[in-house]
Amino acid sequence: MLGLSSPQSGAGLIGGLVYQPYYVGSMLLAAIVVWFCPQTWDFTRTVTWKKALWITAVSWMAIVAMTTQDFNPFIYFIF
Amino acid sequence: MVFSSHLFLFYFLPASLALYYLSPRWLKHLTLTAVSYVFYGWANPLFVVLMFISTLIDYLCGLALVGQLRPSAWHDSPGLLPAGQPRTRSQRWVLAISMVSNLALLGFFKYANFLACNYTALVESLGLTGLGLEGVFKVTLPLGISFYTFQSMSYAIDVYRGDAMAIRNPIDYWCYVAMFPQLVAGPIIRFQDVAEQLRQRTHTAEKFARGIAFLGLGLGKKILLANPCGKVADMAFDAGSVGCGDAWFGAVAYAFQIYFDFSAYSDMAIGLGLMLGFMFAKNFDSPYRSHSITEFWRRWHLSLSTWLRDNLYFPLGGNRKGVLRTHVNLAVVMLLGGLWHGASWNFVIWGALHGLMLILERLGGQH
Repeated sequence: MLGLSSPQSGAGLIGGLVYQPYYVGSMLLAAIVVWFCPQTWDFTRTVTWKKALWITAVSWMAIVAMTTQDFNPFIYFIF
Repeated sequence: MVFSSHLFLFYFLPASLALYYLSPRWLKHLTLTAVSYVFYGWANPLFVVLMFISTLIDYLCGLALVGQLRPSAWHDSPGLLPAGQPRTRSQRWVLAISMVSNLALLGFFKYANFLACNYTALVESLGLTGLGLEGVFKVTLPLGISFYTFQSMSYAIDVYRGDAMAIRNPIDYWCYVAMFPQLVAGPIIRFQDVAEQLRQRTHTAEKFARGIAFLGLGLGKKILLANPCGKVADMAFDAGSVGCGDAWFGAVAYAFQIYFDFSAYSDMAIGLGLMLGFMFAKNFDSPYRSHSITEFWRRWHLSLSTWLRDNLYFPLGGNRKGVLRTHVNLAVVMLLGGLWHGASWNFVIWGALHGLMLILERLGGQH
């Protein structure tokens, strides 16, 4: 439980699943957004055409990705 | 119904917005309330009854606090109690009714299973197997009950304190509690923060455009960031055995999942509010950029932190009753805050750990 013993054989298989480029890329992008990107509140204070195009692109990518993902409600829905 | 679903984005939202904007001004709140009840009842129509009961109790309590249960009394005064003045015994009883009823609803539906489970474990450990409650009953947790009970309760508290006028129009009050942008997962809106907006608000192209921007970016955060990170976390947590590096990778993924899940939801809730003319306060302020746990709780889930501070921490005495009492108050608030998040011991431990860290930071001079 405290990580003081060696993992069971086969534990390395999880690496083949979690270290896929898509997931590693998502985590890196997440880190960039968390620590380097402006907040939505500030970003949307004025919606210029450039920002609108950017937001449209993000929205479209999200809608397309939505069709490929499993149903995943917000965690806070359990509260 | 989830904000990040085809059903909501392509069917429910366009239909709701169309109905809302086509409704005349005097009908807008009724329309919004009706679509919000459809939204909430989509998962289970029975949940609607509970929310209706909670709303009704606090609506009547609000009027009772200002002595205006009978409509004939509505012209007597504006329905605002003087702030800071002592209240009568009946007013204290009315507030107690509001709080007890809401907490009883929340307590039963959220914690009955948890209590039954722990009771059964206790009696079985004492060898009294026949007295256990395992399998006797199972209570379904209604969606968003933690949020709307707190929100509804805060109305009665604000009226009692004289911070808000009692609302007379029942449709306006039902709209305040039930409006779908914030119904299921917050933000917990203080009545005094939206009272003026319920009376009058503008519907401008700038607000609507900003609302769409919030909605789009929130959707992007949820689908493109929170969900992939959640997949990694699920794989790591569900594995029978993981190596150290993989375990940490999974833990970091979970940290990103909950961050973007909540950030996304907050963005989408604010965006939907803007599209309906409401301006909700910021609920999430880049908490992972905090330099301390104290600062973290001033950035994470702002509406809950504020609610707990104003309705639990300050009434307990806050930091005005000495160092030891301040630490006790902090511990109580964080324990109950942890328990609010979920009915299990890991949430209690999580709350306790955060309470301990806040206390240690206070002892170290961080406020």
